[in-house]
Amino acid sequence: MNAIELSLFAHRLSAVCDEMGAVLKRTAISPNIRDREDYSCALFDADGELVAQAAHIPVHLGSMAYCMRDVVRRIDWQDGDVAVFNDPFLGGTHLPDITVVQPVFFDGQCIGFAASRAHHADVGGITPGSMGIHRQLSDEGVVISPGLWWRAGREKTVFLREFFTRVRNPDERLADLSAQRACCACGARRLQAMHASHDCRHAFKSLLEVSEAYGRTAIAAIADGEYRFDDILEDDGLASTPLSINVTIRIQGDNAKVDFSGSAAQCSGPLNCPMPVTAAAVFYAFRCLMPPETPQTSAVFRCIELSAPKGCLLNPHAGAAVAAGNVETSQRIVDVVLGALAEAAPERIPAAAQGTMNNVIFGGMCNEDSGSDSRKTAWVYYETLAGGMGAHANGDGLSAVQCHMTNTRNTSIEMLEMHYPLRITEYAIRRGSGGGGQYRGGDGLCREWQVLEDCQVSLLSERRTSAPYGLNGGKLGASGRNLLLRDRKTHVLAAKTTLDLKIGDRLRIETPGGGGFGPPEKAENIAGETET
Amino acid sequence: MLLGIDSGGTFTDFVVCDGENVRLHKELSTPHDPSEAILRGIEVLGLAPASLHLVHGSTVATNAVLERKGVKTLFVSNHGLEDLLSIGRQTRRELYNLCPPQTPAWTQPDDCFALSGRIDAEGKCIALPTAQNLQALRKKAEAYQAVAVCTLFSFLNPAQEKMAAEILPEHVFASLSHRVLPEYREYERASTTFLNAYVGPLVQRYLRRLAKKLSPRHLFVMHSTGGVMDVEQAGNNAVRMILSGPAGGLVAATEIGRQLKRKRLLSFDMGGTSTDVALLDGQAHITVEGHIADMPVAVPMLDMHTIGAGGGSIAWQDAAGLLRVGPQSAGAQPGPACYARGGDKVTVTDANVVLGRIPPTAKLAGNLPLDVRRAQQVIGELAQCFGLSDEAMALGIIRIAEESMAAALRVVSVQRGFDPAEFSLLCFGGGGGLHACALGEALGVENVLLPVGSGAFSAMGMLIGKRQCDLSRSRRLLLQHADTPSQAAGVFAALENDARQRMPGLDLTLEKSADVRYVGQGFHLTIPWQNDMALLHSDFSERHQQTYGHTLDRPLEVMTLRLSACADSQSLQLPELTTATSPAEACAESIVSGVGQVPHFRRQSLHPGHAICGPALILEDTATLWLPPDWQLGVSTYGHLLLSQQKTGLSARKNA
Repeated sequence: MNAIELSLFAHRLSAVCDEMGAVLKRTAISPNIRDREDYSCALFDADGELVAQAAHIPVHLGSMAYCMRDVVRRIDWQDGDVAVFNDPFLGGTHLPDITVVQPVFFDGQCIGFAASRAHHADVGGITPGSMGIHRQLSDEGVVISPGLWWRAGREKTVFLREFFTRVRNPDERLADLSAQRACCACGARRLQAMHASHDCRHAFKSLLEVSEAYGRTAIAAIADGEYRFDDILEDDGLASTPLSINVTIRIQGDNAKVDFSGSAAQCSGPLNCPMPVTAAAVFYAFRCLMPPETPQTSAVFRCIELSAPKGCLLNPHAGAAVAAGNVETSQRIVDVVLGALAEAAPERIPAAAQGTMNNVIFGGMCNEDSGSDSRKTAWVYYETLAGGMGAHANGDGLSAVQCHMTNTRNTSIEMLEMHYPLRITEYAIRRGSGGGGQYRGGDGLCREWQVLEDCQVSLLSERRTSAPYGLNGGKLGASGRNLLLRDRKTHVLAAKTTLDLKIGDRLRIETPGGGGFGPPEKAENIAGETET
Repeated sequence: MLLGIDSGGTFTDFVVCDGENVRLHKELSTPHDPSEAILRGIEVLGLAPASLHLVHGSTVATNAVLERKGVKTLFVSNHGLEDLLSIGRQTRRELYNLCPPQTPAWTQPDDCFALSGRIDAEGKCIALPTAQNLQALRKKAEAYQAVAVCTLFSFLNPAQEKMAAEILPEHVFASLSHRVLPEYREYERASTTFLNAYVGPLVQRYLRRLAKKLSPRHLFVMHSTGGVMDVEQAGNNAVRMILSGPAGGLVAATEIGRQLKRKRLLSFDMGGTSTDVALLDGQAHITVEGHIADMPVAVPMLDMHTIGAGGGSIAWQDAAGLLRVGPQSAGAQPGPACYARGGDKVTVTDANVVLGRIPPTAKLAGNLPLDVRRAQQVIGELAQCFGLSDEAMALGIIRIAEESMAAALRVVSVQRGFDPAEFSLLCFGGGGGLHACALGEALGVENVLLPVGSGAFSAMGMLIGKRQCDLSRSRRLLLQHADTPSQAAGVFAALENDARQRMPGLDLTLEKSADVRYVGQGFHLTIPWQNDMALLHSDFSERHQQTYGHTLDRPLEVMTLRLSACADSQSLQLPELTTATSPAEACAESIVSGVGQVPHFRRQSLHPGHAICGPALILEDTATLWLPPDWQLGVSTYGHLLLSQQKTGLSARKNA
């Protein structure tokens, strides 16, 4: 294939993924998929190598690229099969992310796979929303190992029976899973049509070969050497011991070895990070150094060799609790990988971003407003809060944005207040929270909820006692704060906690600012120059 | 007599209709004061003053936002929410950019004011603004030309906003969210209200001056849903003019689809830097999720999708040696290499020139000649990097550009649950004709249409735009509550009253609709209103099934009530062309790469009854149509060109 045919082929594949996404968004029910777009669609070759993906959420790209080979080998595929899984230790990330895979057959031969991964609102864990502080995976929700939901065109209802019995909203789950299946079927149809006029297997191979160059070129541009960095997670939600994350990156030519030896052992709480998520965070950091047009294939990451000792925080044993690995630990992995690379390429790497997703989960009982019969029903409300991005060699960091591994949208205040017994009394940029320096880190934000009925809140957050680092003499970003305003008194809350709130209480979250870049004295010089 | 005027960046287009004849005219635009070109055009056309009814499509509002040249605006919102516009939806634009540049904020902290008081989610007033706070607002507002006020739940209870408005100094242009867009979702409402204030005084000034110059002729302005409003309305609702120009194109497309009895159209308007596509299913879809310069514009507008690929898109080789086309564009300055205005990058237009699909004799806009050698030179250089022949290189560039356009059209259809193959492709705008057939083939559509007047298509739509206004109010009503019909009736009565005040003395047709959804869900469907809740429910279920492929057993709620009021207007009467008496005659020929000698035809010489088989080039003043070898062309009674793929192979034999 020449450069033009290959480019056309890559275009078509990514168009297929976009179309799959359109089908999923159109047919799914839950707001998390439709509105927040917490999903990804992908195509794989017959070996499970990622060849195209439409990704909104960075954690999905890397994890799918990393694990599908193993998943694909576990099943003896037939035409008309549909597999489902969410097991973080067999190709998944955390339990709410459910993946649906369909093989694509042509003339009796498997030519590839179409897959979709989406975040489901509830997967039957002890805590509604499946994002609580537990000690083992089985308490976080129903674990689905890769298996066949449909076999050769026939539904195997027994496969998901337990799942549908245990989840809080089985109709919605079935509708969303069916939407994922429709989305894969669409991808399979398009791939078959492409294969009819041109051998896709051959083209996949060429595309993977060529795309390897994007990764290698990016790594070759980094000076050879060994770069180390470490940082901490503050606690695992159960004990207040910091958990260290240590990385050593060896760049040699166009290869990178990323080693997490020396990192903390796996913990009792949900901060454990299964390998696919660890890989996703590392891949994300390197992906940022590649040009924007880089194809979404697994081959771009072939130049990265990853190792983390079995049993450590970043490669835990099966069965460990992992709910926050995705949303908190992954952010710190990005921080340490970028921190190490900053030494090699200071002009391209920013100071640390807020380094947390500030997960806030409210839950309670309220009168259901649905007509004559007034009864109490459970409500759950989940959001993540933006913060500051790190400053960099060319300018200040952005303020009040979602950083690194996530990019989901906020919920409208009016929408929130119409549906839940909550009132927002402040939603503002937290000025001055970005670290000082020649360039300032982005500011975090403040959000304050007034509680209108008794309820419960769970917080999963980080960077409450530690702070986002600055670079080249730039200052630390301000740590975040979780505050309870009760009876005219302010109480500081832990980074990870669950507590009961009473009418009139206010919960106030102040998110961390990004780190600064360059010594602050230089900023003054520049300001002085522009004045004269 | 009707006159449609579309002021674009390069040309100001005129279409005159006296009931029998349609005349087109073009003037070079005068961006520093668009009215100059308008007045000149009217003079050239020699139009009598009083009887003239003018409809204007203007980019004054759009450009002021894009170029950030609006007026100094104060943003007023609840205490604690002054940063509403800076935080937005808290997402970042580029997923993998570690060092994104700062885009200048729309509001600086100094230009925001915190209004005290609070309305709750049921519209109850918890606290009103204090006298002291209001006085501070008055003092602060002195220094501003415009003030935008958006407080929480103002669509339920505007008390807070009204108090703020009353205290504002006389000279200030006030944009109040409960007037601009009384709908829930504070960020989208605030940004719409803000933009309305930001461009309002400019639009007001421009239109008043233009109306005065044109007096006693009647001046109207096209708004973003393809309706028409008077000058005062437009001044107060400037944000509703963001799509003023392009809306005309879709109005014309809808009308022509109706005339040709083709309800389902994919419109394709290819320009220099971007291409607009839209889906019409009997009528154009309306969206309230539009954007401009990264700011949401939540007033209704025609649903148009813009792709960053046009004639000026630049072709280049990426890090791994693959060919890319766009997203960078050579734009109008310096333009493609063949414009010989200093452009040294290869563009899609250059590829068309090298292949001969734009013949060497073609004239560019402004009557400039093509520099074919320049195009060959830059393509030759790129071809060397790839080790390809010049022709293979040019063909590759075109195939990749067409691939991304076809993909966009496919996604636009699929998102709405349609198969693009069931549609006809309607091409207008400068570059459409060069890619029309290839796109038709890629999408599997049977018919491609190039309408008459496609060079001034938006202006044509302005002739048939109706006097219309779209009003709405958010009110959460559960379908099963007994008083929902009466509550809704109250809101509709208020909206109707508002509409009659905005368009006094006209015979109005009212269309009521509602945004309905399953209780608590984040998305809705807009469906025609029914007073009978059971009917409303079943209509909703049917639409939900069609759009999303399933229904749920859950209660329904209304979120927003909508009223569209319009006054009837005449439909566009295009003159019928005389039928051809002899076969079409070629006016010239030239070589097209890969095909050989290809005949040229002038579009104005084509009449109903003519049939041309490809390969052929059809030439218009500033546009070229490439008819590939296996395509044929027919001409409708009104002069629209109808293209279809010739039956070949098996199907051809069957025909025989």
